[in-house]
Amino acid sequence: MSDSNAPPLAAFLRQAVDAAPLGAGAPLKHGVLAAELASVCARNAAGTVRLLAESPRPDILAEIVAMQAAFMHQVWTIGEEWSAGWWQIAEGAVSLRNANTLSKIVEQDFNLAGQVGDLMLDTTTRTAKLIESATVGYSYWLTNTIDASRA
Amino acid sequence: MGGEGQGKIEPLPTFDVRPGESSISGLSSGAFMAVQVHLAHSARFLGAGIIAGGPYRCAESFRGAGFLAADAYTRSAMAIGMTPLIPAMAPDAGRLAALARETAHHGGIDPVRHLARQRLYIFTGSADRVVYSDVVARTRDFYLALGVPEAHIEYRGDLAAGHAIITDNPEDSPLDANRPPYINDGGFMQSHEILRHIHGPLNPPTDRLAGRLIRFDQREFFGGEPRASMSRFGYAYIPSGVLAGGPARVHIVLHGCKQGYNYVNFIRGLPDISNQPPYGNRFITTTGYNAIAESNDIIVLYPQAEGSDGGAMQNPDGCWDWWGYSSPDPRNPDYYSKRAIQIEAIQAMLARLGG
Repeated sequence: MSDSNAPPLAAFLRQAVDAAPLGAGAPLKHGVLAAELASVCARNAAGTVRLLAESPRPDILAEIVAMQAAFMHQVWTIGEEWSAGWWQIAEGAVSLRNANTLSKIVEQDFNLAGQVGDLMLDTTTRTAKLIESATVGYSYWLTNTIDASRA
Repeated sequence: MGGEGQGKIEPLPTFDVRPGESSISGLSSGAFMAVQVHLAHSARFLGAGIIAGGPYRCAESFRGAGFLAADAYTRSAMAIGMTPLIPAMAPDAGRLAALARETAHHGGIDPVRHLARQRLYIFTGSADRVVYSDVVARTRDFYLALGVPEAHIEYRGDLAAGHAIITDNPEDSPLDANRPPYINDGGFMQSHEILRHIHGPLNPPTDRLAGRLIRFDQREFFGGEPRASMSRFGYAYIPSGVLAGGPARVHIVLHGCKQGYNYVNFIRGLPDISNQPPYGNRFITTTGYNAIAESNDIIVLYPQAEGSDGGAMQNPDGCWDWWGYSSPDPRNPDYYSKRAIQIEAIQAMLARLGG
């Protein structure tokens, strides 16, 4: 609904994609998605400069500060849980070696490796999700705010 | 409920259901879907219960979120429809109400005038980290914008609950938990609050379920199409008074993500079938709906969604479709209208029951 401020290139690409055959509607690959996200980030930066130049209102600045605070709080939460995850793995490593069989020892070792992998996967995907959501949410807010300030 | 015949798969029967007195409720994706079904067929309903759900078509809030429509709607669903960083990032209720009016004008949903008589129970836990309270508050604003009287809406946002349906079962998760099975112990049965708000004073819930929980094959209602992302079986609780031929009402309950009867967690993209949690059965049998339904002759219908990961379908958690994954044309999604495959199926089940 709110895309009236999309730059010409983005608008052209979207129109081209929308006009493509049905099969072209399949989800894009990660390289394209990352480039698309980078494009949204660049658009957000340019839009922010323009918005603050045109309407440096206190309520807009307050919302930007609130967004940054909410974002940093979530980064902090992810960091806390990353640290807690490592502590849990470290405690698990210390409490090993009580098994009676070699197969159990091997299983415990691989469990630890798996836990490290899971922790890294979880932290990475949560961080990526936060960045993606914040970027899209900010773009939405920016578009609406620019529209409102021009109305 | 006797043990005899519990393994049976039987056709969904028809009963003496009072027309226009059905209702619906759901949690999370089930709540988003409950709003959609409610809007699509508001002439058939008296009201809805929405636990942690956002307003109608909120996934379409920001088409600029991606070049492809499907990507834009998925990202909007996450960023705007679930976890907006600040209230100003939440869905625009006024704009979505206008979109609902436009959809009704084109015949995609029932006329919105039917909403004026509806009763809404809307809940958000202040500790919900999955669907933020700012989103759920917009659901209330959305219904108000469409003419539901404020007195008809019970809005609860004062409880420090996580993302869950609330029960009084000591076995369930702590009240502020945000984890599967998303059933938390808060010392009261939220299902009873929902039904009492929608249907008015009801008889107290029974301790003894004398009716039958039936298992039916859902596939006849969606033609077995994989894009429906619905399970083989659905369930319905039929109270003893209704089995004896008495008049009934129907309440539809839509589970949330990871709560279908055959939910399987996907680990690194593969279904972990050796550790299939029985979340779905818990949702059907322990959330309190059946106990109050038995003593008030309310049939409870439990349609079931299921997940798949990777490929064309990206619904690993078995969520109901509120962002367009089931649409045949992702550029023009129809997940929100009477023509949506899941809404058609649920409506057909309701019609079969007689509602």
